Amino acid sequence: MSGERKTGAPAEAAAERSLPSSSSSSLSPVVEARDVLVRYAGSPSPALDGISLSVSPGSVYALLGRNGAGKSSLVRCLLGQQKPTAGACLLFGGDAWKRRASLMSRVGVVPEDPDAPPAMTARQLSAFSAKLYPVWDAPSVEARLARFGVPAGTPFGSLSKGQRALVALSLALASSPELLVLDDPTLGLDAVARRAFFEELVGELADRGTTVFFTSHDLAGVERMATRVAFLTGGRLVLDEDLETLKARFRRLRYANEATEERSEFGQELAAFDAVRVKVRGWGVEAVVSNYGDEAFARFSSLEGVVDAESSALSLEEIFLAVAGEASPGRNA
Amino acid sequence: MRAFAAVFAREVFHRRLVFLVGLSSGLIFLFAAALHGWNAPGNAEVRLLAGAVGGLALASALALLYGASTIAGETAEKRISFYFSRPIPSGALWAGKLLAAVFVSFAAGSLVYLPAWLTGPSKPGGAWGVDLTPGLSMLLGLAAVVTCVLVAHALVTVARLRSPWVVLDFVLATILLLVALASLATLARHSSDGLELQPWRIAGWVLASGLSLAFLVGIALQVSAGRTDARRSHGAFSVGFFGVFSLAVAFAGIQALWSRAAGARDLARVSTVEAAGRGAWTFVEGPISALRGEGRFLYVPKEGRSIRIEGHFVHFSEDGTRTAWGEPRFGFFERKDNRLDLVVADLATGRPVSTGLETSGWSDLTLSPSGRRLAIRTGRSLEVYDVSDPANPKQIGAFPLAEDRRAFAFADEDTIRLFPGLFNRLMEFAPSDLEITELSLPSRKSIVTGRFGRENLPFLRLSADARYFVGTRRTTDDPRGTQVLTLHDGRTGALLATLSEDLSGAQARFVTGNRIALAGIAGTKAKIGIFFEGEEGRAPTAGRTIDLGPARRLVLGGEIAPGRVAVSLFPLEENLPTSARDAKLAIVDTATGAVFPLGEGLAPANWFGWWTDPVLPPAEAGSPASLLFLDASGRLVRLDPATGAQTVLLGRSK
Repeated sequence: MSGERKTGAPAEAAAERSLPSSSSSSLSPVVEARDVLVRYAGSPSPALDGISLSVSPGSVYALLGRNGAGKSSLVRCLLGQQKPTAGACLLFGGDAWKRRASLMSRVGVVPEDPDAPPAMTARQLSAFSAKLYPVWDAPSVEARLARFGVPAGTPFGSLSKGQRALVALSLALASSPELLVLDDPTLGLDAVARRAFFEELVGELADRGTTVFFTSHDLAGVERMATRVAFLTGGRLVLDEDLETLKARFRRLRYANEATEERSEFGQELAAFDAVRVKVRGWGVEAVVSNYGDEAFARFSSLEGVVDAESSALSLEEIFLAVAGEASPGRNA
Repeated sequence: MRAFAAVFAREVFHRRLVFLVGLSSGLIFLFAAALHGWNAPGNAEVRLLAGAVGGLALASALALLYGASTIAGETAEKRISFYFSRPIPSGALWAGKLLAAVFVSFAAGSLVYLPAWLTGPSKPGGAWGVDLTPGLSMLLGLAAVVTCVLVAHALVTVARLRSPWVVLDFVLATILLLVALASLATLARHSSDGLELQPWRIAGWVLASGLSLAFLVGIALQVSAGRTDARRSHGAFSVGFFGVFSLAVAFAGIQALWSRAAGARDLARVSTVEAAGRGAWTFVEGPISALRGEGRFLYVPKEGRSIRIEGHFVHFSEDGTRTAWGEPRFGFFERKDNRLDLVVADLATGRPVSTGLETSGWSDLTLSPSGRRLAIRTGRSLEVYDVSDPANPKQIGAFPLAEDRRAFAFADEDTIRLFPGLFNRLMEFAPSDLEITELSLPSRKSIVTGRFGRENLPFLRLSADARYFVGTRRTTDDPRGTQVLTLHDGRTGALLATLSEDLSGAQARFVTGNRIALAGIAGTKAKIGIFFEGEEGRAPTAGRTIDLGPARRLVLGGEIAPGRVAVSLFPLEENLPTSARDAKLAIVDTATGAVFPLGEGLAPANWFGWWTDPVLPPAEAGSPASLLFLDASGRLVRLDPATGAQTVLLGRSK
């Protein structure tokens, strides 16, 4: 089998292959979008409106957004499957649209809807893919599928959605890619399949330090893996920063305000924190702020009228809800 | 190449079961045929035909299925991204999938045919009129498979990708199809059997090649520029397909327009010339080029002006002011029926006007001397119309004439004469075919004025003044044999004189000064005899005979100057180019008998309707009819009778 022929030391081969680029691209991004505009005929607003982002080598970049925010459009552009109306998408510094075929040999892809020909078995898919990549670890595909409990001899179309996602992941990892692109791969998967998927991914990252660009609705999973997070809303990138910074910046504040009884004036004292959401409750005020700092909070706590001020961390999901809700057209209007 | 091979191999492997289906079908055909007796007469041919038809059916069905499901189907079902997320170049994907679809379909069909072929007749013959050579069968099968794959793919692209481009697709497809068909139809009308390459075939090949290329380019663009985006994929296909196909259609359209816009000056050579006895107009016909086909024109040599017509023969009025002809009715490619629409042109304006009348043959009409009356034979009667206003012809007479085959011509504006025309001695004659009948328009009566015998019936032509019939009768069945040339009374047909009995290829011309010039070949020598017309009803008197030297064939031209006729002498009996190049042109003065050689390679262009026009034109010295000559290359040349200078009017030198 061609897979066996190419089995020898795939990790070393990948490392060897990535040497020239890693030396030259230690600073250059693996994935880059430059003012990407995507407009579909018949749609009044663009699907992607001037998106610029970059993913540095070794990072795990999570692109979050509500349904229809433009995540899949951006992924297709980054994979050279769709030409942006304007702007450019680069992979390893090369134009993804113009050099798609050669760039794809360094990329593993897990699509939102696994798209392999339904009549082919996982084993046949592996054999077919082995002819296309310079490195192909066929035994690893078989081993992963065995670990997942996915039959390698069953036609792809007969597998469950979770099994198809795991086959797609196995195939994506078999070429020892420098970049993994995952487009909401766990969408619709049950908890067991989702767990298996992420565990495999985390293990892969630990082994090879592969750069990952992924979109997901599974914010808990993202929080476990991502080093950097971006929020896409209405075709615009409203946030793009390291996860740790993000979580440090976004906090929930609770306090009582005895300085005023006018509800319309509640929250004005939060100006320094860039409050994203303010709720007035019977006992006081609850706010989500996006510019939290310990010193600023100490000053805030000592303000006249601010009583029992306390701050707490937010989960990524809470941050996402706050940001996505804030940026939604309905909220803005 | 590695990616192409991987895609191709995967597609073929995926569809491998159809090979088994093909082979099984082939064997079933074989066994079915064997049930009727393996060695029964015709069994081998039947097996071969059944295998070919079955193979073609399976191959076409598979090609349609694969064409519909490959690329466009995968794009619609969002499965094409599997290939685009792998290191597969777009070209490899396009070629691998299409070639695999063609290969699998064709191979499966071939497997149906294979058993019959292997056990077929050692020398494949035909069955039911179908040539079943394996090579031809395979070629047709491959063409059918490629067509089915491409067409099915295009239809599915339009139908399943559901982009707004579909409206544009239908509009463009309709427009291009109409333009292509109109172009082919136009070019078909301008085709000619005389051309080695027909213009509509050139356009047809360009359109067929363009269509195939358009499919390939469209699908290639669909894959490379559309990729996983269904709308963009459809758009790319449409741009590629219509871009290339519209170029092919534009070629055919421009070719058709170019062909339509041809004037007489564009003729490559002139094959036919007819000219009015008087007036400036002529009719010329000939090939233009392989791209532009053939052209027929009314042409004024002096001005170079021309009008394109579709009629193959025209009838000029004696005064040269009008002409009439029948325009064939066309379906798409061929004549719709055998009827002709009658058109009359006033040569003062040169504007053809359709009369709304029709006839069935080019010889079934004639114009009066003034051109204001038109007689048409309809099959049951002879109808006469006043065509002073050609757009509104008025019937002024109708004479019942059932199954009449005689020639007819106006003797004057009010009288039409019917007489025996171009009859073969061996033909079956009706008694009325031998009669001369006069139809009077004022009295609406017909009178039989003369009758010929069956044994010595000549081919008659009426002189322009209706005083004489010139009769030509072969003495043997050999067309090159001698002829008897006779002069008859123009009303009764009574024999006035036998002008010659020993000439072959004899021709007569009325010349100024009441003279008749008679030329022909006697043995191996050409000679020309002069006769003087007698009083009304009297025999002509013989004048001098002039020897013109050795020749095997001659053409007597018109009266190039008063009393002077042109004659060309050919060294061979056959009408060959070498003979035409060596032809000697001479002017003969019928008054003095002097002969003036005018060089070689020219022959009178106008044969004065010797076989087509029942009227022998009048003497008209210096008319265009007499001054035009054709050279060996088919160029139309005007000769200046005073200086002998030659001016090439039409045609290109080879």
